[in-house]
Amino acid sequence: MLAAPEVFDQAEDGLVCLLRERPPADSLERVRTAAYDCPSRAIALRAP
Amino acid sequence: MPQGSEASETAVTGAGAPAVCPFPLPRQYPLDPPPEFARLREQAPAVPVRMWDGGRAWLITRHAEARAVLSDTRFSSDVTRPGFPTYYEGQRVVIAEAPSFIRADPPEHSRLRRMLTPEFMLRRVEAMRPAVHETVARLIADIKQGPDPVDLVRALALPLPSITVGRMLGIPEDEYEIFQKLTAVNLSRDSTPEETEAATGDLLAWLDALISAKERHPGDDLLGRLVAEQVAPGLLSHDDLVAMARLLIVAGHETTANMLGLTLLSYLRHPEHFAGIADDPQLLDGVVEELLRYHSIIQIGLARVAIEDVEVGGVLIRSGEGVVVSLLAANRDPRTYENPDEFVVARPGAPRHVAFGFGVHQCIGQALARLEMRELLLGVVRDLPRMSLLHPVEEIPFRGEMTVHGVHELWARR
Repeated sequence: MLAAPEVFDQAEDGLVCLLRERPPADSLERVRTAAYDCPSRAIALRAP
Repeated sequence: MPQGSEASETAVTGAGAPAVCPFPLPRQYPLDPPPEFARLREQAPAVPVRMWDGGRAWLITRHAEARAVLSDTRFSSDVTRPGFPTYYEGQRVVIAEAPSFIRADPPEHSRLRRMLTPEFMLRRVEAMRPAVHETVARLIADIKQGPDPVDLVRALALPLPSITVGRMLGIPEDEYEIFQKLTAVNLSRDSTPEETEAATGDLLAWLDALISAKERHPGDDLLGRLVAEQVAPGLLSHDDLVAMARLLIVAGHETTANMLGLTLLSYLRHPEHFAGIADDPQLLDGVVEELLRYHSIIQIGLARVAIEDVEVGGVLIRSGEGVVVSLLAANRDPRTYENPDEFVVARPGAPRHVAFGFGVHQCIGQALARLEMRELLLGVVRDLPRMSLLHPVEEIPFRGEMTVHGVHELWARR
């Protein structure tokens, strides 16, 4: 959520939740950073 | 690799290979990793080292492999497994005394950790900012009224996390003094192993009583909520909560206190790096991340044991072999960071450091640690602008021999 707060958030139980399944192109770099930083490897990026 | 005691250093990998280093390795300059790390990091992604009991472990020194190992569940955190590396005699006993989820693997680890995740999530931690800000202001006000020069460890770096974790857990104010005394022994370099063991016993006994009191009257705090939501319905035992509380206290106290001491040291050595932080939140964030990377206070490393054969950077690690991931070496990896041994505030696009570890065990308290670092820096920049170090780095006593790096004392003229 630090890297791309408009795409990822934390639910009440603390688990990551996806706000936007298809993030806009201008947030792609930050979404990549979020995927890299995610310690539990919960985030994966896939081509459409 | 064979385990067991071997008296002499012999090459493990065959003719021409370098001799096996004993581990841990000592630092030379207190703010830099042991000089051998650079050579070992170049040698291979995983190199064999010899532990205190003669057993072998694989040392991981590169950033990419550190991330790979720490996020791979084929490496276990369970200290009771054969082959799990320890750093000193008696470490297994200390851990076994009150095993917490830091030494567990999924799914048990996940079950226990998730009880705490909501307490440490970003939003909840951000809500603590006013209280942390107020504590910093109060401690600085006390400094201004107190003796000059002042030991910033005793006056600032130790009490801030102590008060913060005490408030978070719900330690009653009239128990604060006992709490601080019990936790101080662990942090003192003058404590003998017997004193540390006794203090651990005392801390656990005190926590046991505290949690029993909360079971009778749970309040609106972390321990109270765990009692009401986990212990009462039988999801968490009383003893497991005691172990969890002890983990949070040790992890929230010793680590943060030392990071804050080193933060103050870095600030006092180079105040010009920190000048704009009050007006530039991005700069402040960058400063905090670089402080974490540069100091990497978990200075020995994170221990694991392979439970399957795993290839790491082309090196085959066999099931049952021990692994030590050096966060300090990984955070100074020239493959990842340019001029890694320099404190450089702006590193645009640099990959995140591993000072908080990686994988499912990554520090649960990291948002709180960052918050305390930010508020402390903002406070000293604002309210102690003329503060200066009393001693050069060479004369400051560092904790080179302890699990967590830091300074024992940090004297300054306010």
